[in-house]
Amino acid sequence: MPFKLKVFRLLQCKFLKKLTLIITVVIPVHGIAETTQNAYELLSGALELMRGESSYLEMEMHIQRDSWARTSRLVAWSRGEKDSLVRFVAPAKDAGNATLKKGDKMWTYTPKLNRTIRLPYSMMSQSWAGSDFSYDDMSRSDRLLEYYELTILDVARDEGFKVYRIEAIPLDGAPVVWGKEEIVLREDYVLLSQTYFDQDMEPLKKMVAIEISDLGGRIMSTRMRMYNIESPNQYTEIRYMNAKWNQRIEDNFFTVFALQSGSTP
Amino acid sequence: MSLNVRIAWRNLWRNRRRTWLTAGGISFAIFLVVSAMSLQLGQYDVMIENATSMMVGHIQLQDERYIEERHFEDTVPEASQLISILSREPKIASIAPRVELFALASVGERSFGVQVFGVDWEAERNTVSFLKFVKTGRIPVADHETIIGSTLARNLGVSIGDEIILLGAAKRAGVGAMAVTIVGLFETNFPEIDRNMVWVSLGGVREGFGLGDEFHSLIIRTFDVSNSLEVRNALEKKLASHDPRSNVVIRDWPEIMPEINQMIDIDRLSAEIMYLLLELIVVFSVINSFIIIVFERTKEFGMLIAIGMKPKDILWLVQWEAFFGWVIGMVVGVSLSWLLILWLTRTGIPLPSDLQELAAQMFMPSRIYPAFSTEAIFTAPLILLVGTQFAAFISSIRILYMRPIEVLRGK
Repeated sequence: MPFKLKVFRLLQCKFLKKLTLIITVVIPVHGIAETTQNAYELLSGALELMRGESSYLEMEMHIQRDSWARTSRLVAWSRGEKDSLVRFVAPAKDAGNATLKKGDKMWTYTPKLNRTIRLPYSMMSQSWAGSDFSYDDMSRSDRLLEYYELTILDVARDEGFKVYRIEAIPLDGAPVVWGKEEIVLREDYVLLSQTYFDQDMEPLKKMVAIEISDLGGRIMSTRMRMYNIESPNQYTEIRYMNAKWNQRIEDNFFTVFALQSGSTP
Repeated sequence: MSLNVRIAWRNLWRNRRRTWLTAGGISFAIFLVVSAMSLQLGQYDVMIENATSMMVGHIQLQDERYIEERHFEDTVPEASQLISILSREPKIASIAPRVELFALASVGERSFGVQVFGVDWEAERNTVSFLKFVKTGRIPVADHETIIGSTLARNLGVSIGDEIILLGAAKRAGVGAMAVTIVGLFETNFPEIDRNMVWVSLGGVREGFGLGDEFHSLIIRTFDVSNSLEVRNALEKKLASHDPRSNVVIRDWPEIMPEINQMIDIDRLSAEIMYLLLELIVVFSVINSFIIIVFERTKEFGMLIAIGMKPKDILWLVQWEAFFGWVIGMVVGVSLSWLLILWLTRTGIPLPSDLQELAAQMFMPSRIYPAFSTEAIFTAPLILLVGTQFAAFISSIRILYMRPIEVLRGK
């Protein structure tokens, strides 16, 4: 049993109330500082794992609804913390549709109209291409580090790994629609689940890792399912099939021009 | 009895001034209430007509799930077949299919979330009055043409002739998009609509957002809005025999816009309280004049009792006098208000210009016209009839206790 849990059990004992008082007064000042640092460290580790210095991902997106289902294939590049580009490659109907995020700005390109559209920041939390994922989820941005206060709720142990449950509460004035989020993370930064709560702190949607495996040399969640808590039979799954990490991507790749031309780095 | 009635009629003219004063009070109240009610009830029909014909229509048909969730997916399929079946119903004036969706309207670096209606222009023109709000430009004809709200145009920095991109999720996911050219701007008195709304052609939306022969809403116009419930039920029956397992729900306007009826109910209630107070005041003045009548004629009544008339018959006499007073007041009041209503139905009362915008938001016209209705004509006279008889009765109760000798002595 981890030391912290032991202390916790002790605190629950009634005859140790006095001790509790002393400990709660003395210990937390140190305790909180330590866990906060850990939470940030853990999450940036998780982001780093999914992004690297740069990343190239091939993936499949499966949208499951009551009366229909649809599978598309996408490729995605990212560089650093802010830049990403996601492009549909199949089915033919959607191929070429692409979204570019550069810093806080977003554009989307529609080959059908041959037009690039600047998306307002408020679109970040909207559904992406009719899926259960939002633009935010797709861009793997570091908004959790930037706009949230993170706390470790508890630590458990699973298959030899420490598993952290982290609570993320948006800072005042953060451009965030959620009341809070809860992230479950393995100590090797593998994201196990993420739950989104509305402003009344009711869970609204949830993403869970279904498959964890080696992707281009990194152990990570390679299949993730996002669903609405109320209708778990309707979901979107993203499966990473191929990845290349830390390859050099030229500056001119994350531009509106590259978005439109459909070029690869 | 008939003698009593004749005496009552003659008695009325023994003191003409008092009779005219009493009848005048009654006619004044009747005139006021009948005119006000005609004006007021006249507004309701106009409000209902304006509210329903602006966009919503008299009856709507949608998929059950669409009504609750407004999901783009939940369309009604086999649109043309359904429309041709429904349009056989003789009481339907016209039907307009609509596709509704939320999209991002974008021009250059600017974009706003908007509500998009994909419509059949000709059908809309026959079904709702919305296209009348197009104040600049014209109504689209081609599939790539659009009309947008004037505020939205200002916010996007566009005007007629410019192109905007509409971007959203297509049916069964995927990217839906269309490029449309603005040919007209509409200006309603509803800021929400002017700021958030874009109307495009049905064909354009179906193509751009991956829809086939389907729609989200059917907007139905009946020949008379007061028949909408009846027509709704007829359509429901027709639909059930066509496809018993269908998810489609048909609603008439009170179901779609319960707030209109609530607004009317509140207005009606507050007006009714006012009318009732007015009628009460007049009834009190009638009580007053009958108390004086009975007081002034104490000697007369005492003598009638002394020569053998039963007090009960005198009570009836006063009742008849009150009734005739009411008849005179009613005839005068109702005729006056008829004249006023007749005149106003031609000219109308114009609202001051600063009120017109507010009125339009409550679906009221800029000129108020009264309407003849049995409710308006009968309510006030009947209430006052009861009130007058009651007033005469309670003022003359003391006749029952009159002792002729004391009364004749003037005690």
